[in-house]
Amino acid sequence: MAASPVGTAFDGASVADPDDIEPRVKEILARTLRRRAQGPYSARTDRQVGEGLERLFAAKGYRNVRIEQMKRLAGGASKEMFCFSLHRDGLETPERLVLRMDPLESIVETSRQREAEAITALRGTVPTPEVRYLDEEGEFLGQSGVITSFVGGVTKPSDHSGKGVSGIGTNYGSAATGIAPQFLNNLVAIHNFDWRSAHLPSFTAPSAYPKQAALWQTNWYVRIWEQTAPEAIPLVSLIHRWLRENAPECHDLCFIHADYRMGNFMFDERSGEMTAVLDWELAHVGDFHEDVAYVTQKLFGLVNENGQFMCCGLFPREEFLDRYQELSGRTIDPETLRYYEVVNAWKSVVHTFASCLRVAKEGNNHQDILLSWLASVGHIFLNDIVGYLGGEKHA
Amino acid sequence: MTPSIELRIQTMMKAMTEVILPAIESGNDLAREQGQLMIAHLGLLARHWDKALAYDTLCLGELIRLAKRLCDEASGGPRTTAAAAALRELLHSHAPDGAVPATQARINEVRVALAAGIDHLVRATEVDSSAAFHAGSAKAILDHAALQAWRDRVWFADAGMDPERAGLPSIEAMLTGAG
Repeated sequence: MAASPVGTAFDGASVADPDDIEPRVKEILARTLRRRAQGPYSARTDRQVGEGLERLFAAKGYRNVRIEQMKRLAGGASKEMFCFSLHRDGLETPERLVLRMDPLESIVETSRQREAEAITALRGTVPTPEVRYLDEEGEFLGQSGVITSFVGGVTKPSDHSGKGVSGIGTNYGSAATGIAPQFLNNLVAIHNFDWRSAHLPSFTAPSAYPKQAALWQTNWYVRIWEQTAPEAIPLVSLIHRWLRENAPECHDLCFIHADYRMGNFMFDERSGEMTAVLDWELAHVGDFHEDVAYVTQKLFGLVNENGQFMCCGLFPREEFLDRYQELSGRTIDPETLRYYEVVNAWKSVVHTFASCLRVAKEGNNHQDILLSWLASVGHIFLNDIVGYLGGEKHA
Repeated sequence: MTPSIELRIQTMMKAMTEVILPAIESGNDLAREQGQLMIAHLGLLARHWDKALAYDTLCLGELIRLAKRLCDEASGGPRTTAAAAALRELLHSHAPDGAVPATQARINEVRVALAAGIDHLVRATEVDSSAAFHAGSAKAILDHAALQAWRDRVWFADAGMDPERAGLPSIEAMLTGAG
């Protein structure tokens, strides 16, 4: 893949324009700065959440609303999550629901509206929860939130002895054989989804020029870095240059999950069936190489008992790439894959060294201690990037 | 005699493990997870606290060497040469003769200043660097980053999240150059 000269125009658009970012994403970036100044933030109590839910359901016109069996869900690194039972007139049996709500600031700032649109659009294509209610502006809940149906299943085997957070380090054990083909089928189904015909009003496709898919991701995360990172890092400065100079063209825009990995799907332990693909908050229209590269990231895999690295604990790398091509009919371009390996590893650097550290320092999250813990993995991604950019890793 | 930092960390970990964590009700997963993270953080603090100054001194020394290398090799148009001159001035004022400051606060200050200066220089290379310095700056930064990422992975290996941590040396070996 030839690098394009920086600053040259491509179909009228400057490939180096740092302000060329998907419009809704740009709004979220500005919202982040407004929210940051409102901190610090404390974890919501069950009572606060229950009162917010009652306000929301009252506004829907429901009568005799009762929120029961409220339980906070731990394990995620981004949003406050609760499951609860909704009782109200007109429901013969209570409805079990899940609330996913923004803290003041988190490891990744996104829109519940976009997340709800993505889940709703993809439901039926892959297993997802059903979006039941949305409070995008936090009018009732106090913070932006989306409420979905409760889906049975687990994100890791219940006898899992690993201590990783956010599903990292999950060993699927004997379940891996059954999960692997479903994991692959669902990824291909997401990429084959007809997003052009779907109702996705908060999304914009990067179709103005062929490099826009790559540069929207680059510009988005450079902007996060610039408005969030506590200090500069020489390798990150070089990465920014490299990403702008080596952006690949994309002529096959797909719907991208953008966080498709171990820990972000549920499965039924008895049947082995995948019951839900989770965490759609980063979904966007882009290049399929982005998701494929994401699955292969070191942090989201593990080394098996034979010393072999398994992507997401499910496949050896080459087997995953081969089976993806075979099933999707798409051809993976090695240089584009490398570009998105850098993009994904670098996004994780931004999440850890910029967002985790800044949000924890500001005290703007419900689990600042988790964010300061997660920040230590940024070095693992920087080490990977050294290799991707042709450097010689120190061993 | 005063109670040592080791002893205080050790007693906090014991209190968390044996008294506070078991007292958290079984359904309170958030409190339980944060309690476990406190124990993990304290364990890492116990490993780090008496080596932190040596570690940060080593890292800043390498950053100073990177900045000097970039200044020595810089070539190109007015933006690149101006950014290189600014970095050279930062080196002169913050780390004369390549010396690393003695205090933690000053080390942090110099690291932030030099990293910002390098960032400005790399941005300038996008505008008018010579081809040689475009490649040379990448090589210099990658050489530095390879060693720095390795050191940082060693420093945080006990967090248990590095899939290749089994191949890393101890912090002591890394600091003494025996790794």
